[in-house]
Amino acid sequence: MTVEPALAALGGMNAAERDAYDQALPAAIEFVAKLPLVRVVVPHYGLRNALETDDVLRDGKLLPSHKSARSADGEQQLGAADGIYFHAGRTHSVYGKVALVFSELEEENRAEVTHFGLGGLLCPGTGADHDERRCVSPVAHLPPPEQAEFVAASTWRSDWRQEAPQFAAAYFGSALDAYFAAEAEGRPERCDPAGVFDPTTGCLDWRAWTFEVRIAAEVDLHRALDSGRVMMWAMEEQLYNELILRAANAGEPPWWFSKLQKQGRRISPPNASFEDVLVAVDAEVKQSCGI
Amino acid sequence: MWDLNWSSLTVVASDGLVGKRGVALRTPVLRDEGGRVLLPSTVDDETVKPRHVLPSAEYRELLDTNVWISVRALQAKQGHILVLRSASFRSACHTVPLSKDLRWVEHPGGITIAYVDRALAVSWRAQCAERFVGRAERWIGEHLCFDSPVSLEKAQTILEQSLFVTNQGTSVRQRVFVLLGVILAEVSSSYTSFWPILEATALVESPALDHSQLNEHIQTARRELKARCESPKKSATWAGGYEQHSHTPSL
Repeated sequence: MTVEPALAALGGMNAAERDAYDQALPAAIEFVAKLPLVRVVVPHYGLRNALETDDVLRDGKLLPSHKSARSADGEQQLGAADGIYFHAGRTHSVYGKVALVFSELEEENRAEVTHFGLGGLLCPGTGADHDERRCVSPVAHLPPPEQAEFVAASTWRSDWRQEAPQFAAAYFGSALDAYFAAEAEGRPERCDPAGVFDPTTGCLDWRAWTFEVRIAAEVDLHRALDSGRVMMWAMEEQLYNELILRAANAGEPPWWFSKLQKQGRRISPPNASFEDVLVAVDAEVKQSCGI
Repeated sequence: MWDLNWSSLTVVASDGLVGKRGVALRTPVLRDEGGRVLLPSTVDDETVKPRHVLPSAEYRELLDTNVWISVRALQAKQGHILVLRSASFRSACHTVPLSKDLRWVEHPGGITIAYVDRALAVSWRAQCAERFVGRAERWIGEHLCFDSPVSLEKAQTILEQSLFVTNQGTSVRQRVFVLLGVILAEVSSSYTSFWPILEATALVESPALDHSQLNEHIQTARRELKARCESPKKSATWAGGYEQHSHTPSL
């Protein structure tokens, strides 16, 4: 392999680094155990808007098919499973209008997890995103088979909540609040073997050091809600009101959204934009992790 | 991590509207002097800390798919947010009309956009809600007195728009649901299908309110609106107040 995965660095720690790691590990174990899965769904327009509104909010299903063509192509090239994407502990408004926050899901037994997002890989090496250091550089510029190898070596599966604390302890140390910091402020202080966290040449996007949990199975939202695993939810206000009116229309079947309204905890600060709401969700999630 | 001065930033885009009705508050999408496109953590601080810096390709894709819309480049201002108004909501505003309207800029697709201080946007929403509810009450009264289905339809339409300018758990929003209950009770075919979901929403949003209390409010509102229409000189506007900011369980 051309580049070593981040966890390969654990073996090469000096005594001081090892000591710091050992001190940070217990808190990291607790942190990852509590870390919620966050999925922002229902893209604003286009075919996926109608599809995800029906699948998620009406029928109560998260499906692996809820992704862009680019993501699906990336999975194939990188040898990753056909998964539903969650960011552990973080929202990002570009993905849609509805934020769903889950505690540990049963379906995580079908998860693939990396400490970076696949979307930052397979960079063509040119263009604005490359120039702005938004790709998972330098890994994203390797030949695709080598990137696939890197992904495979960096992937945790159903036991990710036991494995990921090592990464958190090694790279965030005791400063676990950095995991939630905006943009490059949250970059791990320790550099990884691949150089993705290098402040001068590495990536600037927080999705390059955030756990991406990809569940290769349908997630039954009725079951998740009934078992108390939907910790909180938020919805863009205009969509919320549209859905109330749509769901109220004659002939519509019972919506999962109606059940969510009754059973879930909605984060809804008054007079807020959806971006403001997501900031509030992030703060709640961070607090739930004990940070 | 860099904090940016408002004077170095330009508003370039906004998250779009979801449907064809309603109105929405939006955090402005900003561009800095280096050309980076960002969403601020908040618009209320003295300086701007980016919450997300958007990769150019991602930003372009959001614009190309109409998820975000370009706006006329504006100097960014601390505390300012965008108000996006659909064509149908604009039409409702013209119906009432509003005494203190915002300065709107036309945008393709019938959307109008205002870039204003958050406090102004909040008071504008409250004014919309008050006027819409007041107009709906008058139309409902007309129907109750003169059997005017057209008035009833107009009242329902403007009350549906009112949902977009009322905050959950406020008395004015409860009033909107109560008035929708009055309307739907008049249209028996809609009552059985349309009302249960709205009633459930009203009860979820106002935990202090139960089914029988809501029904009582609906019956009271019906009697009052009919009486008001029959004896306009004795009429009084709804005395519940249009509280938009705090949870007020009673009507």
